[in-house]
Amino acid sequence: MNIPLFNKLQQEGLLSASSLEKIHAQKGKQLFSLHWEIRTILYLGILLLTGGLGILVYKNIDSLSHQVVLLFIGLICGGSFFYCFKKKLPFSNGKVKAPNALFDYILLLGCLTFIIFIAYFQYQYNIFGNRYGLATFLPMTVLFFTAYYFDHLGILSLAITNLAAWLGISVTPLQVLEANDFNNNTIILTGVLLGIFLVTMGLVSLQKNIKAHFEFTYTNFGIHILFISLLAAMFQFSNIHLLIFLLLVAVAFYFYSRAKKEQSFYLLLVSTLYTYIGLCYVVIHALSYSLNSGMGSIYLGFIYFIASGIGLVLFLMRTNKKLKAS
Amino acid sequence: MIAYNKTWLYNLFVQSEAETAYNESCITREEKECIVVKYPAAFYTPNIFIRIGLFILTIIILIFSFGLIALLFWSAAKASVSGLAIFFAIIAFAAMEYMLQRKKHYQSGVDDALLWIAAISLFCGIVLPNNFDELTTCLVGFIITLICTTRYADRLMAATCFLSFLGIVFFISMNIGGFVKAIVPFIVMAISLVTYILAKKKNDTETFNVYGQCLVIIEIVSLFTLYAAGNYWVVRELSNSMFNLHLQPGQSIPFGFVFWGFTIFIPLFYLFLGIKKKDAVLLRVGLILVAAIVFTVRYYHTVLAIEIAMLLAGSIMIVIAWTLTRYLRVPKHGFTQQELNSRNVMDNMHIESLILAETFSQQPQTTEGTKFGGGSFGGAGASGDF
Repeated sequence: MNIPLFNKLQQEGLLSASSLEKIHAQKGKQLFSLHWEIRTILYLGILLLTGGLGILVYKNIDSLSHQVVLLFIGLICGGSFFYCFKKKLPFSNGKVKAPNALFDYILLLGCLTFIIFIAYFQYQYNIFGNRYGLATFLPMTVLFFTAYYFDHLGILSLAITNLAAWLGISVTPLQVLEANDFNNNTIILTGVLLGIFLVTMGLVSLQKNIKAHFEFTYTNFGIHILFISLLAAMFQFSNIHLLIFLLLVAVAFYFYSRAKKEQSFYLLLVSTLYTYIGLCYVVIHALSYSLNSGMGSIYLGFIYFIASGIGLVLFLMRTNKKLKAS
Repeated sequence: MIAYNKTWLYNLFVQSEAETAYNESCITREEKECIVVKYPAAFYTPNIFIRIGLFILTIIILIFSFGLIALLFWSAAKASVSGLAIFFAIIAFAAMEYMLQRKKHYQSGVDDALLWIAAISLFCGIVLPNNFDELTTCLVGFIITLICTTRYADRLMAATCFLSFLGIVFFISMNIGGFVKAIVPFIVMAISLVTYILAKKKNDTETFNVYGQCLVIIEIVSLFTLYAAGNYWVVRELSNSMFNLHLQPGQSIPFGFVFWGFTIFIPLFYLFLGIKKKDAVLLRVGLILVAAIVFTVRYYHTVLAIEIAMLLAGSIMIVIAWTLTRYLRVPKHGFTQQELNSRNVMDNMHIESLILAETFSQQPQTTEGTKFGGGSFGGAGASGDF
């Protein structure tokens, strides 16, 4: 805090003497927080440790004694979970704070080693046989349980990712577009259903007041999966793309009204941009069919992009005002 | 000079200081509101997400406007693409000024997009058709970014400006050759150091500075360039290609040990200074550069197998974090492990949990277990289709 500035403000009569006193006192005992630095180091440490562990197991799978490896991983996993069970605060449907700064990360370490443990078991002893679904299903249930039981948003995200993997799609932010084959009809349909399911889960958490703060994570995954799958459906089934576009607009309208109600600029932006992509597809599709000769359609296309861009800018600015005002 | 209303910028600064004081419950709500009324800033600055949206849309509008202009004046455009680009840049700058002066935009996404498109098309318009050498290219970039920084106080512009200045110095030294060419790492280091000290001094005073945020960025970038210029890997590989040394793997450059010294001790020195002066910039840059030490050493000397190194490093980092948290449970020497301001943007967005899902997502049925990729979070996942 800038002391000369506050002195000046006090002289102008905007601050009481006691407030200024408080500011001076605060400045004197101002602490330097290492919170994010420590967290980053811890996070990277866990990342490196589990990564190294994974590679170690992978490389030595033939030479190591399996029991030793399993024991080692199991010990880390068990130790972490033991610590968490001992330290955790009592369960509640509301938000439960972590007992200390390290708790969340140790829980994370436990979950990650658990996943490695199961995967190793499956690889080596084939405990689930060829029922690969089960090999994903078990970690997923454990992750969901852990997320709710210990109240951990990160593990909830992991669990959702696992749920999607169990259904055969990849939903992590960077891989959602690359890793999925959106030319596959089943994947598109699964994506739409999963998106709807996750958004509903978000609503249910909110309404039943079971871990209401999980709502954002559910909705966030859900909205992206839903919109991307709908767009993929538009591109894939181009003969009925207008119908799907209407569906997309309906979904977008739903999120738009939710954005207004919850004053969420994020939901507003996401649904606007996805709808815009859909709209552009429809317009270009129409242009390329109706005016498939000469420069006319190209000119129209350019003008459409400029006009729609300006229109959307105005729309966003106006909605921004509305959301701020309410 | 600066295009934005200076008084309003100052008022914004006063408002944010009042906000901090309010968050630390030093001043009452009424006092804060009084201050905001007394120091108004009528800029148009929307919410960050709206800003992102406006930024994307403005870029779309500009690109298609450029295309439309090119189509309309096709015969002229064919003759001189660079003329067209410069013409377009002038239009974009004019639109920028209009948005700032009339519509009072400030960090709205519209002005960011206009500024960058205008600067880039001006740069391309001048550089592309002329086949300039590197020095002139850097010079053009430097002049454009310098003007943009002084007029619009954009942080990224400031960083680019500093980098292109270093580029100029580098290529001038290359052209002089001989002794100057040989000591170019030291020249770059010296300039970075001087820049850092100047920026720090200019920004440390308690008076308000319009370019404050630019100066912080320049501090960060100059710390990085100071390190990069002395880093063994950078110096070895660059001089290998610049001086045609044809070094064999395992061969060192002349005075290699000096650069090894820089590689290892500069980050530690940053850390030391950062802790001593309680300077977040120095501390964080130092922490990042510790990773650079590890990568540089591992590039030339395979000390340990990768997985053992990862296991060791991971364990050490966990232990360090653990010890620090325990040690700072009660604040010591003015340090704390607690978060100071609970209204953290990071928490609201649950960024941590998203990064988690990205980095730790794994393919089951393989023992490899963890597939950790970049570890960065690529925006909202939207707009990938443009």
